[in-house]
Amino acid sequence: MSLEIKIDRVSMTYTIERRVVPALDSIDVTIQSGSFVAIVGPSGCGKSTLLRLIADILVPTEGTIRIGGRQPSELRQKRQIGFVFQDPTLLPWRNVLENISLPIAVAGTGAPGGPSATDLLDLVGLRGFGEARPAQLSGGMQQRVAIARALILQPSVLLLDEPFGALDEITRQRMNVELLRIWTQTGTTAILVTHSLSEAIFMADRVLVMSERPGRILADIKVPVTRPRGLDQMATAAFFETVNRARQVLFGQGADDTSPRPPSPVTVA
Amino acid sequence: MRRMNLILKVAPALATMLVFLAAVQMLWFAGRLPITVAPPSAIIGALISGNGALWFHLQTTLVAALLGFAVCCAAAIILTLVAHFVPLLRDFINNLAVAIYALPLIALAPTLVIWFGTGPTVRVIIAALAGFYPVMVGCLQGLQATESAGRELMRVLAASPWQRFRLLELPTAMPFVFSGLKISAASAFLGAIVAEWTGAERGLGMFMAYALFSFNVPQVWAAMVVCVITALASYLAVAGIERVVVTWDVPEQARGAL
Repeated sequence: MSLEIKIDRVSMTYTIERRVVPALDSIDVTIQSGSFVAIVGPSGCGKSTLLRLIADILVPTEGTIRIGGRQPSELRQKRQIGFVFQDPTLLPWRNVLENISLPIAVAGTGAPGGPSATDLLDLVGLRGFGEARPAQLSGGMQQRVAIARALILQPSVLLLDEPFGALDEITRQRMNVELLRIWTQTGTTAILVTHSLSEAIFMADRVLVMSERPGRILADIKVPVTRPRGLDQMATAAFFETVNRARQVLFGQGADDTSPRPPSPVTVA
Repeated sequence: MRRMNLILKVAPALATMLVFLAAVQMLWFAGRLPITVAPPSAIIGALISGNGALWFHLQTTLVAALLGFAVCCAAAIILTLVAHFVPLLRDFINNLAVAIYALPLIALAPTLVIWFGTGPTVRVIIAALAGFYPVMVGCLQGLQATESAGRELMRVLAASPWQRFRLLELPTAMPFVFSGLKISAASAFLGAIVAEWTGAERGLGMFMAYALFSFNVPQVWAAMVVCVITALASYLAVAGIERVVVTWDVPEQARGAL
């Protein structure tokens, strides 16, 4: 199951040591049910805050959020929100299977007809690692466990907060392909927060480009690249065109100088 | 390989100690040792002789120390839980812990002897007071060691405060609690000895005081050796339990919290 997310003029301010710091300024966006949306923006622009508002980890200062017509708090209480943090946040005293099934331990039961922890272990490509402790896994493998944990209660919304930000480029690319495959199989509404434009465009149907703090949505770019996507599509004209458009929104004029071009064929002498 | 490493780790300390003891013994042979210092040979003699008097007194002290340790652990755990679930009382309990730490036990013990007599009560109370602060700090620090991502995870999962405690905060706290327990175990034992010094009809502290006042230097030193070994052993006993309970990798800062 997947749900539509409607964000209606949401603003957020933090109060840090009596100083009021605006984090988000009047965010207005609707995310279609079952779609994959990426949010990009500079560090500190409030993109992670927006994700936390949708998850009801934080409460907006102004405006409303509706997920399938209901309050985020209601969705959270029903455990319909899957969240993957930047840090895997695994419990080191639980083995991999026990970490994946942590939401079941809290909820008391799994989702009716839902996947077992072992199913998800297979889905994220960690068969045979069920008994391992998190400390024995690489960063990429730990984040796979975190994704499996986020999916075990079959959430209608999957929120990903720079999940691969700490990984090296090669692992990151591989994880992106994996995540797309997993998302296609679950069909939930997914929101990915990232600071990598190419990652955002590779993954998403739509890319929301945010401004510096206080975050506003500068552009809502539809990604014209067809699905299913593979790494070879990152070399297509449609992909580069979209990267350039987003880049121009983020950096304004001088963007052309650093814009990526399709790789020219290597000539061997 | 691991045994080899252990030997390499322990060997220098052991060698240094043996050289030191040999030197003291030599000084005694040369007649250069002050009369307040007993040579190792005399201390070993005092440890062996005496028809198990040391062992008899040690048992008394150990029972009091164990009871005191149990009391202070229970008190620390209860107070920490109250501070944790009733944030309003957190500051008060923190201050109370510091106040108890600041109590001069050496002055308090004689007063308690006047109230409770020279029986085991005073020993248990002083042992409990001496051991209280390290466990308390370990418990309090441990429950505050949970990282924000973990708390956010529990919120997304709609965990109850009790579930959050049981699944996240308590296991996170365990290494901190144990570093407190290790120190408290030794402190409670030494606390019991302090209490016995100020008035008791038996116990290792009383044995020490008695040996001192009758100027039996080897016996004083023998009692001290027993003290050190027992305090160390109680530390190691708790460390052994920790190895069974805390089986996961723990960040450095948790291991060396105190």
